[in-house]
Amino acid sequence: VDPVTRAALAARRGDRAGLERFVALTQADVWRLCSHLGGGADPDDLAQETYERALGAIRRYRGEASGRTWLLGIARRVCADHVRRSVRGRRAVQRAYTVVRNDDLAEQIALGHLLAALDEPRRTAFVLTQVIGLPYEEAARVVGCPVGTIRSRVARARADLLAVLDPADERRPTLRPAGVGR
Amino acid sequence: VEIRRVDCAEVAELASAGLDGELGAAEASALDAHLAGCAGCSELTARMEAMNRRLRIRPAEAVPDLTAAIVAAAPRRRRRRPVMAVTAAALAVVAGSILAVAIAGGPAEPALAVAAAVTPVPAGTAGVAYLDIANRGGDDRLVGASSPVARSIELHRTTVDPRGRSLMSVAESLVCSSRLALEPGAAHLMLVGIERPLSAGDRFPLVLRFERSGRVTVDVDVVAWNAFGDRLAIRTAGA
Repeated sequence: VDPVTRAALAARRGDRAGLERFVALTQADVWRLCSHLGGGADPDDLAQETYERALGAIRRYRGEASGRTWLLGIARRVCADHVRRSVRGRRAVQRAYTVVRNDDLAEQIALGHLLAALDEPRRTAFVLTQVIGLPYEEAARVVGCPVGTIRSRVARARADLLAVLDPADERRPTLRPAGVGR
Repeated sequence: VEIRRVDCAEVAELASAGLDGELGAAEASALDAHLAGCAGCSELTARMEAMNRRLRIRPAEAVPDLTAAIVAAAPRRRRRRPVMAVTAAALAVVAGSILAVAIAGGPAEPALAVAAAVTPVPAGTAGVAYLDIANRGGDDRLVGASSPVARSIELHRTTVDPRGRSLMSVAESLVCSSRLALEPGAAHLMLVGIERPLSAGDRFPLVLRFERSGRVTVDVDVVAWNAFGDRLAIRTAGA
């Protein structure tokens, strides 16, 4: 059993140290996912909400999926719920990126904007596999879809990004506003 | 064995999976066979590889460390020692001052107790301060700090990314649910522009600004680095 799953099972038994380990091992991935999928909402808040839901439901976690997969699935639903709630009257919040003492901040922000322009299913597949680094199999479990679907969405996301980053291609950029079509 | 034929429409997906190491041996050789005879697809694949390198060499995004806040907010199943006991333990060990701000009112009002405020002797004009805030009431947020000894004070969070690198980021605010520990590896106050030299044994006032509780003034003890390590060990064991 991997360390995250072990910590999740310990947390489920009410072990406070296990809970702390579970959060410490996963919170960076949860925050990253929330920063890309949360539609511009504060990822701190979305991450907090993810753990609230997860820790409230941890008694029902039996270790069928790995602890990370289970938690990222919840994070994804928290983000989706939030985007759905805020589709109308969305404030132009650009707080997804904390102020960082890092020369590459501009690069990071640029990547954030690029990803934000991808269709939601493609962005999710891309973030899970490229930013968080999950294998296709695990990304498929987080999303609840076949592995082949992740494979084709990642490829389409790459094609979309390529059309913008490297427009040697004759095709018109395929980027559309997030959340439109597939 | 029949070799699978690949046509141009499939190349983007196969090449993409190949970049992620998600291609089986049979598919990989079928893709290679196609690329060997198709200049257009070879070019597409090369551009995809170049973009992949460009995206991969980007630094890992800096991520705040929310562990303390999340754990503090987590529901408790068993009663732990009450927060006051922790604070008392810290008080017994640490000569630093404790200031309790108990605000009368409903249960949603924050009730803060700040303990163990220390600054290791600053090496130059910048220093760090650590402290421990217990909250027996509703959630609050630390939104800023100031002190006559420093030109300005920033809230910093430390995060360790999956590759083990520590990233420091400036936080607009830090959540203070039942506990906010500003300690090495998690968060600290960064004192910028320290005007006069501080040495071990000195004590200076620090004003913490909270979203709901307003201003809270504490005394910060300046300690030698080795003494600081001892205090830290004691605090970790006591909490």
